[in-house]
Amino acid sequence: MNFPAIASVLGMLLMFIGCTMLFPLACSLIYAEGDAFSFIISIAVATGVGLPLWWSFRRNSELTIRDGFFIVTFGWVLVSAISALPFMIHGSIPSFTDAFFEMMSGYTTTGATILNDIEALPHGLLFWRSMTHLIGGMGFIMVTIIILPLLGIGSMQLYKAEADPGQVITGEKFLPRVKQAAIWLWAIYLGLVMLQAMLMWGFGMPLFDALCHAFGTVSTSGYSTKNSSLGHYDNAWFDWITVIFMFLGGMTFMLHYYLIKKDWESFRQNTEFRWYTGFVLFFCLFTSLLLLAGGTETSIPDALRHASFQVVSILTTTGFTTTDYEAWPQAAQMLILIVCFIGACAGSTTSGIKVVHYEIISKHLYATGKKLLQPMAVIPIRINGRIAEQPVINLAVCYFIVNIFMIFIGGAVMTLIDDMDYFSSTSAVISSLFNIGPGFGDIGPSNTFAHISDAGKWYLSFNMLTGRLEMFSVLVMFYPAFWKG
Amino acid sequence: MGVTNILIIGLGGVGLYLAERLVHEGYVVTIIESNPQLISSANDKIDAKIIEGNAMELSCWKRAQAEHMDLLIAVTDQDSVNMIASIIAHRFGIPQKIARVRSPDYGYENSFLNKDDFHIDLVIHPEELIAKEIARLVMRAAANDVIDIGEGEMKVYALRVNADSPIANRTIREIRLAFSDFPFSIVAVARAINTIIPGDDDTILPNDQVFIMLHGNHISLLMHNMGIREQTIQRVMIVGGGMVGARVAELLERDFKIKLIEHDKEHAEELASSLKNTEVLLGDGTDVNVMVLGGLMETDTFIATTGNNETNIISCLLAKHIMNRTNIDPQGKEGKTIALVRKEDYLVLASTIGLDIALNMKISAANEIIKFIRMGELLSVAHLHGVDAEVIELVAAPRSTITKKRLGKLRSLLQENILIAGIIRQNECVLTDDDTHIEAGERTIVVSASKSLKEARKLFQ
Repeated sequence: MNFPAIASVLGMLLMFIGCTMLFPLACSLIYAEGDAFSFIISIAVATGVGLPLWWSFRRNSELTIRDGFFIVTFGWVLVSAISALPFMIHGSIPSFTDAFFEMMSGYTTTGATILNDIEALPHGLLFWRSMTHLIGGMGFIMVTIIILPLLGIGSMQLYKAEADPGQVITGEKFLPRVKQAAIWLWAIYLGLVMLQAMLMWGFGMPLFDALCHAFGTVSTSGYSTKNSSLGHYDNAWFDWITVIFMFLGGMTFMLHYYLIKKDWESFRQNTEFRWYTGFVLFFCLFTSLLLLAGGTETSIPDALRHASFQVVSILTTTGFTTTDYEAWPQAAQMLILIVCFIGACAGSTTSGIKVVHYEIISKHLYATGKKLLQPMAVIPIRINGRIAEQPVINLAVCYFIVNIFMIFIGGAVMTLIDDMDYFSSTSAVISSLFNIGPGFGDIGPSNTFAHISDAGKWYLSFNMLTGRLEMFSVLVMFYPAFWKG
Repeated sequence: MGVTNILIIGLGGVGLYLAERLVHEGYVVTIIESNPQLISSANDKIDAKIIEGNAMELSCWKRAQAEHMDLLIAVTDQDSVNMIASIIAHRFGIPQKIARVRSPDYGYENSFLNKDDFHIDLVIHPEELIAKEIARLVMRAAANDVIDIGEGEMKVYALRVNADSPIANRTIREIRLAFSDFPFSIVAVARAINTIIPGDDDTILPNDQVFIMLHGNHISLLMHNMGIREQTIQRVMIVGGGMVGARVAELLERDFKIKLIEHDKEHAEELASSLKNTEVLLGDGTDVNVMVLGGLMETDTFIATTGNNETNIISCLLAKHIMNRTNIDPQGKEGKTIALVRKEDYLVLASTIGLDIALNMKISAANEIIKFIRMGELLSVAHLHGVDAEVIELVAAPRSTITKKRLGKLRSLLQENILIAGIIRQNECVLTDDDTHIEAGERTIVVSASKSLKEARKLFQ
């Protein structure tokens, strides 16, 4: 591996994180709640380590595939560790395990928190906590692609390894150059975030809250500034705006680009989007019906609002809550559990098993069955207007299986190292692996992750990272071949 | 002119090589290719948008955003596809079109359907290009290669250094002191697979190929000093009567004595009837007996143009060995070999293991295309064969970095990859030294490693 080149990219990352801390620092200075010094020290540490690393190795830029995986995985760990500093220095989260968990959960857009009283945090730290969503949602490695002058082939390796938005498992790049694509994606992403923040502000949410919630919505993450999440406001406008932006965040980002470019043809060809819309409508309506039938909700608008919010929030792996769905009828809870396994569209800010994976697998299943009846049949599997080649199908099946394995193995590990019941443990793993946030039982919407043991927190952090980087970028580290030669 | 978006049709040898070079130089490249295997192997190598599909389907062009393209390069292996692609590109409003056309019936000045009928701006025929290049090399007497620069006053003389050469095992500084009677500059050295832009303290080793820039008038002086004599009559032996070999024979047969060895009987008969002044021999060109019987001892230049890279390299080495062992000439005349090597990975190596010249069709075609693209940006371009460096002419912009100090003080900026070789002052090209101070507006001849072209250009902006 080319360690000098790796060091220079990681150095660049640290400097970048140091710079982004200027925003929460500004926030601390405005609110003057005594947390400014923790940011100043953290910025000094991040740039103090990052600058010399980057400077001394900046001439090395040849990156291999292996370097790409290494940079991405360790980049995320390193950045989470550095970002934990302000919380530890300020003293609001004294333990490194807790602070690291909170930050890893932020960057991976999970939104699982160990804070029992969120509102006790000063505004600067709250802003920083939400800002990790903003940075992690689009992927900060992608930022280095924009900043670093010439990574050449290396930039492609990094882009792929981080599983950033804008990539679809079938079909080609939407723009010729990775750098160009990265700039467009960030522009679309920030545009959506700002639009939502302005809308929420316009409908009466305080600007600070509007910004923080917008950071957590388009990135489909889920940190709120309130203890009872968005339910705190109990405002239908906020709920529906958030639903729409969660949905937009769960769309393939290429589609936003096509919409801006008025390229209806490419938009129309995307079958995944139709499946996604279908899934969302089906689960929203079905859940609303169950809520009405079970008597949880009495009016149709309320049933639609609460059911849609919860379904879209879980389906897009966001994890905001407006109601305690554990008080819902069992059937409605089961739907929420099913929806956990759906992770919106490929190439969006979401994690987990994507709609396109289900589309491929179900079409493959159909074709396999049909071939039993008519062995000579040639059944092409068409995804987004193109024929999916065998490797693409294999990857989808493989990805699905790895996810299911990770959940059951993870559930077993969690029950061993923690004293939760098996359902809560499995739910905790589902919630972290798919980057959702809340789960069921001991980590349900009314609970936090605070009571989990240190070992459990580290294990869940590992799951969050593995899920965010779509399994293989992290799992290849466990191949002995990765470290040899 | 401002070409930024380039559409390449066909990801074969030339297409891939071009795409790699163009992406590296910062152009935005989109490629249409129908073979999924070629795509998957290229996908990890180049940062470009690759569209899988047939170039004859308009949907591919739409997916490629053809209307935003500035240049089309159609280099599939089918003439018809390339020519129609050019017409399609014209309809999409792509201003410039380059197409590979092999058939002489189409696309050339006197053809039935000429360039304008297809809206092609530049026709590329790789075999023809390489054949012309080989012919040009043979015509130059004993020189390994002489490359014109600018309007032709300055030349780059490519020379292979043998162990008893007066410049072997000496540093550039020593060489400059030893040959002080005329100005010259060693601008590049090809050693094994590396290209070195030499500094004062670098040493020239035997087996290096050195590129010496000097005034055209001084070439005979240089050859005298280096102990090289001009040869007069040329006898040429060509192995392989394929498209390139036959064309080289055709180009040279009036002025030289040519022997062409072809192993296929029918093809040999065809060649014999079409090439009037060439002696066509039937036999295996890699067989020593055939070579010797064919008259290798009397041959001055041996050219291998079969379809197989390894055959070409090996038979050239073999020929060189035989020619130099038996051809004991009191004046130390040496036989020269030229090999056609299609794999660019071999190319850099081929020039150091003792082959005099190795040529690659892909690279010469790509150079022709890149030269065309750069016409607006650079004044002239010369390519040094077998090395990863280029000679370009740049004009210093007012207040550009290069004009700030004299060259001796700019060393660190030039790193090891860029050499300011000469400037054109009062219509005369002069070689630079440490004291030269480049002024704004002056035309400068720069030798740069290919990877540093961008940096070189930046210095002058």
